[in-house]
Amino acid sequence: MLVIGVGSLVRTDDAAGRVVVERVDDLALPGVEVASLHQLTPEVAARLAGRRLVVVVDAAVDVAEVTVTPLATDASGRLVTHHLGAAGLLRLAADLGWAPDAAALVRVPASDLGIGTELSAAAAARVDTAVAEVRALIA
Amino acid sequence: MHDIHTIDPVTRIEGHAKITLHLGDDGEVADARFHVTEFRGFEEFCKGRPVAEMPGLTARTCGICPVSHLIAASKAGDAIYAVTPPPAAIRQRRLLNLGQILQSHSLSFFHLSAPDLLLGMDHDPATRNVFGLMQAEPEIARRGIRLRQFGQEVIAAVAGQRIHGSLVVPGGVARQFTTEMRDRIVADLDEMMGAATATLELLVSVEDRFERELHSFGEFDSIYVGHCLPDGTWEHIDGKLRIMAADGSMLVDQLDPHDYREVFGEAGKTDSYLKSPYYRPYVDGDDPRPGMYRVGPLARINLAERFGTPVADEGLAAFRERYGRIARSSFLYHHARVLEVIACVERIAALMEDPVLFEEKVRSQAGINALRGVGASEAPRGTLIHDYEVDGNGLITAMNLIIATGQNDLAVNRTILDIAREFVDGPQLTDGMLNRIEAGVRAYDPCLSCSTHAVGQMPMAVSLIAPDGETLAEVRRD
Repeated sequence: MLVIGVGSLVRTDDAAGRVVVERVDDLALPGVEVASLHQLTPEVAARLAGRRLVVVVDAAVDVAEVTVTPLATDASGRLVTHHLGAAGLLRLAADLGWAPDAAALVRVPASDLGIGTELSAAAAARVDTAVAEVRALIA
Repeated sequence: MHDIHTIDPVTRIEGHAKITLHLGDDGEVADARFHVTEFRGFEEFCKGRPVAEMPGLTARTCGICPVSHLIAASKAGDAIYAVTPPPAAIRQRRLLNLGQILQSHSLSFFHLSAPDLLLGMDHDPATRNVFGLMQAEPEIARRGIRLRQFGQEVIAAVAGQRIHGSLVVPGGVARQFTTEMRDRIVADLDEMMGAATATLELLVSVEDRFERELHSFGEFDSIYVGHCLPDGTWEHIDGKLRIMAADGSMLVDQLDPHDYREVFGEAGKTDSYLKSPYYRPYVDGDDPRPGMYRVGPLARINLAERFGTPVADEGLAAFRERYGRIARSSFLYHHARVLEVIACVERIAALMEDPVLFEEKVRSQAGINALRGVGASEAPRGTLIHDYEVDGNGLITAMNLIIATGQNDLAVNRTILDIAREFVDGPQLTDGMLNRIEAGVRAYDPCLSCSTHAVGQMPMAVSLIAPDGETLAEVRRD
């Protein structure tokens, strides 16, 4: 299993996904690999190959609470390498025969995306919940 | 009356640029110019900062080739400290640069240029990109992704992270290389060698389709510049500079980069932020074009007698049998790039067997011993020079960065002109024609400092502008 946290470490709440995967990494769960990434690039698709489960943890401005959804492939046909989203990454992996058996997206509410290296209080308060959701997915 | 065609932006390059085509009274293309429209200012805002910060600061010039700046900046720092890095540090720097060249060349070939080469210059622009390639040729796309991933993994294993790692410092490197790092790299070597050689076979198999491009994409005489060992072996980080004339004769050999000002001048332009370096002895007056030279993969393989590794040398021999000892066409940058990918994999494999790489001493310590230092290395796109002047406290007082893409600027302009004359006929512009002009630029893999460019959308605007500035016609592709 692979847990990917994605976001900028200098854009306040955008780092929420990476804070979550660092916490998951600290748990040293057997059979679980984590990746903390600034952005999703085509090369990441290769890391999805052969996985039973891939979980992407990302900050989101359109949710009010930590949200878990199955990750579906992007069907828009308009992928862009410089800002590939989780669904686009899955689509890429599928096209290249690297799709995992299952994939999920954990979204952490973000309210402040300004310059900063610490999560806002609101986002920080939801990290425990997000970590618990990741643990439930990989259990 | 002189009309102007404008291609803005140029897509699938690293950064922002536009092209203008100037038509003469006879309706034929009279001139072509490549304009870099982004401004960075590193040479100014680094003033007053400590020289030890330069590797970290200047690496931020680019997200594609930060390692190249790390290395050139550290070598300039070595010169100011007047130190020789320990042998293990030199090898770690070599390994890092090989990973850098490998990942950048893979990005250039597979992500940026392969859609043109494998899908065709006239393929639908909506799918003539890396994602279209993935659907049409998934095995080739997988190979490209894995090669780039491997180059990045080499960088990550050595420097701690794929982009903006903090390993290289004046005097050496910051950490000892370990067997764990080696094991991460060695595990993929066989697969990468297979992928690299298969890529060369693929490229050779399709090159015959591009006879017209071969002869119109910058097929001209020029000087070639790059690092090369005294015995003619290909080099990318150490050694000195070789300057070769168009006919293969030696103009200068083993030039210490510290003395680059003796032979290279830099011309500024009013319509581009890119400087145009030139070979000074060939220029007499204000026009730098007689001093045009090329750097990068094509220049490096023209300068060298051999790679010094068996598989790359076999490929180089076949290349020379087909294109001659001095390859003149810039279209062959692609072929040179793939040969260098093979050489990088072979040299990485050789370094993994070198016990010196693992030695504990990795940094030489010293204070400020010189007030000027020049560092140079081969970036993926060509020779990179960092020239620093410092005060007695090691604070930067003057800085000059000579970037590979700048050194190719005059050749890029000449290439665009040649392609435009071959493919542009009056005011009618087609997608295939525009893409050939862009592809001519792309052959040099210009890095205008990693900025956004939409691979999937290929936005392009072409304007026909009268001498008085009036836009006579405009074509836009969203």
